[in-house]
Amino acid sequence: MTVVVLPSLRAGATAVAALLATGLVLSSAMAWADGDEPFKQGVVALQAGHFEEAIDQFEAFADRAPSHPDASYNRGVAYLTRVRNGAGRPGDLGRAAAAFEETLAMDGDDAGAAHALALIHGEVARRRSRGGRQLVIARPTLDRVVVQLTSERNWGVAAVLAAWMLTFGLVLRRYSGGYQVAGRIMLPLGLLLLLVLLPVYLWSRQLRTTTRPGVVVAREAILNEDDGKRQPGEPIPEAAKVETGQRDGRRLHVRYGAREGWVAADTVRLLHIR
Amino acid sequence: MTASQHKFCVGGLMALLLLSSSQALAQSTALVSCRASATKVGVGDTFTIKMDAMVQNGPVPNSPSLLAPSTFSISHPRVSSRTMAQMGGSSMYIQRGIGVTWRLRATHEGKFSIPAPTVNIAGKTVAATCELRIRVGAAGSGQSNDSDDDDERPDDDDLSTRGRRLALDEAPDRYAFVRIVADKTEVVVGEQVTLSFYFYRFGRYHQVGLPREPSLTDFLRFPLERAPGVGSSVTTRAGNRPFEARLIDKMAVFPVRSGALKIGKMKLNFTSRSFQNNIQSRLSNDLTITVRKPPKEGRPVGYRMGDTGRYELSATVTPRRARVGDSVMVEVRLSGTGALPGSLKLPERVGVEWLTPEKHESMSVDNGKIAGLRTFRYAVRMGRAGDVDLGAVALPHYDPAARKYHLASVDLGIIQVASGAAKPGAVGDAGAPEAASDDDDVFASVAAARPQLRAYQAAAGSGFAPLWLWSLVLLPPLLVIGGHAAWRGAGGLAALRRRRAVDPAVMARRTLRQLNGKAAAEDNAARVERAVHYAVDAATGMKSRALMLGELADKLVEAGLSPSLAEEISALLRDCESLRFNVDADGGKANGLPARARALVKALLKAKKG
Repeated sequence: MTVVVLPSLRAGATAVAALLATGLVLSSAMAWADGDEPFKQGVVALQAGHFEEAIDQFEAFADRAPSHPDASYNRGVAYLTRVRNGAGRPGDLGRAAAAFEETLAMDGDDAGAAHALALIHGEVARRRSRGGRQLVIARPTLDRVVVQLTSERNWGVAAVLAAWMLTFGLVLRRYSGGYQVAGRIMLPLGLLLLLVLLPVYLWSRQLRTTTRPGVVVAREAILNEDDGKRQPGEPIPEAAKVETGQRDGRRLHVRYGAREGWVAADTVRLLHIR
Repeated sequence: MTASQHKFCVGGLMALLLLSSSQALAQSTALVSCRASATKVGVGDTFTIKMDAMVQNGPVPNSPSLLAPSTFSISHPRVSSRTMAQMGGSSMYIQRGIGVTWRLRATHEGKFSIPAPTVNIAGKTVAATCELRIRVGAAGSGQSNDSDDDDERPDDDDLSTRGRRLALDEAPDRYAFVRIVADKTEVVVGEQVTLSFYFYRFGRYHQVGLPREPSLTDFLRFPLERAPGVGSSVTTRAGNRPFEARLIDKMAVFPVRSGALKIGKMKLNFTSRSFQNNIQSRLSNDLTITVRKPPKEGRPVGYRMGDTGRYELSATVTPRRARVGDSVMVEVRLSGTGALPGSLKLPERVGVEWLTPEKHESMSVDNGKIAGLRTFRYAVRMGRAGDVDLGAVALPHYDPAARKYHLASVDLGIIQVASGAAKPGAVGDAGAPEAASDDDDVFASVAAARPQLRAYQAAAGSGFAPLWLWSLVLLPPLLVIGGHAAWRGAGGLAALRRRRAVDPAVMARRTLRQLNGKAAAEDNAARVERAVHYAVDAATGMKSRALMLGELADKLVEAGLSPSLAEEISALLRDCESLRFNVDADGGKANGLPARARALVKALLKAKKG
């Protein structure tokens, strides 16, 4: 007589769940495995002190593979290593800052990248002051401050909620007593919120689809008018984060704080966050 | 010899003579024709006279001549050989000859007759069979110069290989123009494009000054012509006119970025007596070069966009022994074809400092391609002791001819660096080492590189599809408002129906419609009475049914109706009453009631509207 022991349903479900989770992790890891050879070689080169080669490898990884916060971080470290060894080239701090900005865009909680970025900005400011340059403070305009408080999706959800508040106000107003009072409050409030939140959502969407973040990777980026004339005021310093717009040949439209204008396209590196 | 034999001989001889003469005539048949390209020209205009002289089985004509009046300047004739074959029955006749073209320029106004050109055929001067009458008007009036350009179109067979290559189907200008020719119009970034600049001229035009080069905004340029502007001319064709094309410049250009890049236009000034020596300008065509990036497939790590060509590297390092703080000399030689890079990627190492190099270069043209040698001389300061491997200088580049990437590299080898201070006079020593700045300590607290990639899932998009948003925002309030409006509309409709149901005017009309000729008289009388009372109610608001008939008329007048109308109403109601309650009443009245009722109701409702 053959006895067949069947596993319990719960054990079976647990096993399936574990397999699925493993599969998910593996699939995300597999996405990198195929193209992470440059990353591995970059790590080896950096550990051996061959920072030039490490930079090439991490740049090649950035060109070919989807973005990854650790790869961007290591690319920033490679550029900083070149600077620390006295072989830094003009724009290296900016390139390092661009790498760390990418890391933070993908993982906002990355303390290492945030710390390195803060050090870079400090060093840039120190070098500028040593060179007699004025400190440049870029204050974002109110529209950017408001729009960037949260994501486009959240603004959209808020607009939807305001629309529903307006709807409920319209319905409750027909009743009497407390419902009517509630309706009379919700109707104008919902309308007001909708009139405010809807344009903010539209503006947020407009910014997301037509602009892209970038970082200055030259000693400075000079802002020019549409006709090519130089704008008054200080140029944008190295490692500064800018908002880039349209490209016209070899120049790029950027916004830095309240100022906007055209800069040479090769002075700004666009952040790749895919 | 008998007389008959004599006659036979003479006849035969004569026949032979005739035959040979005709043969000779046939053999030496010449056809000489001529034509002018224009019959009306302006002063200063040029036109051509062309002559074709063909001979069958005879010597080729020679010594063409044209004697034009002194009011025309005439150029040296251009002579080309011609051969024509004709089939006639079972025979083929070959004609050989020459085509001659003279270019004339009119200098005075008037009507002129030019003698036909002549040619020498077998020792005889033969004139062409044509009439040449030319009318010369004021300058610029040479409209008829357009006549039959085919006449002066040079045969492509007569052009040299280079002339045929430079020929154009259409001339941008009738007299002179500048043309840019590129050897290729689709290249990769950094690949050489050879531009040749030609000045096409129809007449004797002289270049004035140097031409203004095209902008070539997105290109590096290298001259290929040692003496620009002093090239030989070649006869070619543009449209149906012969032009002389002269190479005035040639350069190699290298695009620095991808895209559809424009060369720009060259501007050239020239003058001529036909333009009264006024300086004329011409702009060239503007070429577009399509530049793409080299393929990503197989692109080596460290490749820099624009490093395109075929390169080789070699290096010399001296000395091989040094002390900490010493400098060694590293000379790297880069040779090859293409635009040689201006800098090299150096194998930077910890403890090895590469100083700014000295550069020397010599460029040359090798079979139309820019080639050269660039030497980079570096002083490399050794900052740590031990066997220091300087590494290798590598230059990945793309070869557009082979369509593949190559890697030029040279290994710099090992320097044995001893510890201790540098000796004075060491190679490249610039004195005591610079005091180390504290810059490198600023980033000491940055965490080390991460050894592996953690599991990471990119965040979902932060967008909100507009279609969803507009649906969720607009639909709910619109539905509520629309529903409410629909509800109120339905209620209002019902109320309207209800009001209409009790409207006295409506009821009066409805009652009148119920009048039936077949019904009993008292029934109709009752209906008429009801209709009139409804009408009075509608017109005056007065409930007349509650009033006595005797006082009805007065009340109606008080209510605003006219006395005659009030009397009619009273009379009608009296007749209705008598018909209802007095069966013996006049039957004739019953027949007239509906009509009277209708008229009264109409009058009352009209009074209501008023």
